[in-house]
Amino acid sequence: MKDNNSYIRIEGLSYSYPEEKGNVLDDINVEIGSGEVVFVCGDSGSGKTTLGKCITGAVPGFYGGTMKGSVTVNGIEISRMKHSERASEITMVFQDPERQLLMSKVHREIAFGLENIGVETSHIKRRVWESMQFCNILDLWDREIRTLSGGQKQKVAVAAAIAYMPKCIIFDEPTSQLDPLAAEEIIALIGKINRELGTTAVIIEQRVERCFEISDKILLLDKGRVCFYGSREEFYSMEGRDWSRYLPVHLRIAKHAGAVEMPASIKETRRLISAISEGAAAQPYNEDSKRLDYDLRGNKEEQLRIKGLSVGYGSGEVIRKLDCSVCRGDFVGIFGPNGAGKSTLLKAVTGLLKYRGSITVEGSEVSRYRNREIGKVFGYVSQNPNDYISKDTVYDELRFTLDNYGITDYSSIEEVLKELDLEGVRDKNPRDLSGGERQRVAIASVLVNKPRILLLDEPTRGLDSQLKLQLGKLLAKLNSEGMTIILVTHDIEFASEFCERYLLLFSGEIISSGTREEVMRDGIFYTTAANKIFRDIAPDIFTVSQAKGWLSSDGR
Amino acid sequence: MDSAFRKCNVITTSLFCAVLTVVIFSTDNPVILLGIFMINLAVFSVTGSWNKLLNGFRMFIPFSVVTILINMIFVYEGRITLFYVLGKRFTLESLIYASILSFKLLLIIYVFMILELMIDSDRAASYFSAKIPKTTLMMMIALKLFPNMKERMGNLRDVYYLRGVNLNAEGLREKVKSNIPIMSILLENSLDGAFDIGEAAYVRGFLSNRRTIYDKQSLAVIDFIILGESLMFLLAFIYVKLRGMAEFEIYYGAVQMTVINQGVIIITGMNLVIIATLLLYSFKESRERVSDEGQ
Repeated sequence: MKDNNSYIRIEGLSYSYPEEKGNVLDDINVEIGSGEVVFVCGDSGSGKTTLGKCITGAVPGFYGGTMKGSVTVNGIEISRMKHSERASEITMVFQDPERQLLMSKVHREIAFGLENIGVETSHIKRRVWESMQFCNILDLWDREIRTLSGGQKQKVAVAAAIAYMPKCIIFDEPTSQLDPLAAEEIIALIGKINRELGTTAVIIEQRVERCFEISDKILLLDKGRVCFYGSREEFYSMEGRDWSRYLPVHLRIAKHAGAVEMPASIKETRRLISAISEGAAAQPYNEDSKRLDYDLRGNKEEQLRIKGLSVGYGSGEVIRKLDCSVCRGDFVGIFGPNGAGKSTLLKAVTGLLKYRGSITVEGSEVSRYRNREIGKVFGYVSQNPNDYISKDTVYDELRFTLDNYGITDYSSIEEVLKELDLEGVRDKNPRDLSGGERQRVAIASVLVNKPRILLLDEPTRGLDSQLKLQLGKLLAKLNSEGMTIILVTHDIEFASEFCERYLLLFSGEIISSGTREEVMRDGIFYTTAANKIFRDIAPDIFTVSQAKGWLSSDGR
Repeated sequence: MDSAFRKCNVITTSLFCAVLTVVIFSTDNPVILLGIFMINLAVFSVTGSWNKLLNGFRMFIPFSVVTILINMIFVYEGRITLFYVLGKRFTLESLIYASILSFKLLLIIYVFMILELMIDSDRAASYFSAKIPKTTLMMMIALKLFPNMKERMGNLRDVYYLRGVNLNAEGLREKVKSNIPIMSILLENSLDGAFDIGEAAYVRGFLSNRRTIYDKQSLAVIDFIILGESLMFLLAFIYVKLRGMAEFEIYYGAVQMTVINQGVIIITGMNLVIIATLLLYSFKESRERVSDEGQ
């Protein structure tokens, strides 16, 4: 149904990129009202970002390609708008702040866009300073951008966007490169921009929790088509195919608890759960298969021992006198704020950084290993799966690792391809694979060397919920086969689902370590959304599946 | 801390460095080149950038060695024989010629370094975006990509070290071979990065309109002084060059008069004036800064 008050109207939009056969977007019809916040969700490759680019005019203006249908903004077709007019009406905040900030200093970066569209010099200064004030980054005004943290850089990008005083801002996964705290700040800032300035916001995101709350409408895309477009309440009540993974945790729990009306907040969900709990015979929840499994395995053989470890860059110490040990077959999750020393710890363990103290793996000091030997003990998967793509086929990529080690028996390649479900793409160019497949290729290229300990640095970064689940299952499978896994992550929900032991790092020190229950039960920040809802009723519930189990169990 | 020279107008510093570049390219006279080296030295000195001076020198050494070797092997000209190897004569003139050539390269490297020290890159980007937008965007993308590539390179080296690549292989061929995967990823990454930056610039209205300038600079007294001195220096050099006093033909007998003559003395005098101006301005600015901080 057409809404005459709609600000953005997308009619019959189909688009394919140059030299690509299939449509990325297929017959999209959407109307966005002025001042609305629309949360665009969907799996990787569903066309979310392309839709955002169609609204900004970058598709097809910058990319080329074949577009059918129309995108009108304020009654004017975007392709007919003058470039400067379009840039001042609609702007975009991109995924990676590194790739959108061009100037060196913060205030000049914000001014850059205004200079582009010819805003009078006398007005630029005011807009620059007010934007910084609005985003609370006045203290950064003269800082070199390269010295800022990821969150600060993204705030600068947002300030640069609002300086245009645009009617609409497209946010393309603005938090995907950020830690949870910085992500929360950015989402809160988007909410503030919408509330106080009335700016229409289209948020394309994988992190559902906060985005859902500030949105007026949800737009769900699947394979380039609109699956759902409507209010949050309608999305919550939607029947049919299960898209509940795009609901925040508390709503997933509420839905499973049978709440017909969508709870307006976590507080309401907590009340709902309390009411359910009071109505039933209250018994402590005892579903903790992970811990039981872990204990039953009698997992006591120490594989990695760290004693008095100190690591520093320059004069400062990032890790200070850290002690810990990891047993064979452990699945350890390390989390903590940015700068806590998580990645540094991984690098020190693999001998990539000089350290003081002692790191022994299987009885030998890490610093005494030579690189070919250390690579047989540790498999290291970095944050970016593209780091592992240098060859033209998946098979060659795996063979490359073996060749480096002088291994001529290639039978392990077939084993790993099968294990990681990559047989179907063995002869494909890894660059043509989806995000999830690339992630598996990265892991495969490390596993092919049969390391005894697998280290992963932020493996879920930028992955959608479906891909995260696939990755988690894969890691759990490898772990069940005896591989020790240590992963560094900001994704507490993911870690709580799959890890067995946890280390919480602050300022280069282990603040807490142990099982999920020991580390997260009393967590203020470092615990899961489900635990925050259930902690007064069943403090050992950390995941949605546990919550569902509790809601379905007779024990409650 | 920003150098005092960054307060200067973009046109001033650009023109100043352009004049130095023109002179370096137009003469082989070692005294004139030495004068320009002294100017560079003055800037490095007052900005405390001795590291840059050393880095530039390190970059220069291998090129210098290769140039000298090639020139001495292939050029037979010259009167003074230094030594014979396998019956081939190596002359003092070919050694001097190659040394001057590589010294000129060193000076060009230094001029780019002092340009970076003297110019406010954001002001320059803003100014040149209004005049030559496409070229400026290309330059900005390139400048943006290098630090990112450097950072990525560190991560990639870690990844490939643990994948068993021998990054410390001996021999140039082995070294190149072991670095190919890293370089191919860096290349792809930089192409993607350049595309993304271009897209962001497009969305942000670059090339959409007549550009305005956020922080319009007017010419201050120091700008007039440096501009005046640069132009005088250039005019004097053109005069000396046209009179044939800036020539240095080593292979045809370099006598004292071709190195030091009236013209060269004039140019050297102007060099000293420029150096004095740079030092005095820097001294004045640092004193003002100290007194501001004191208040």
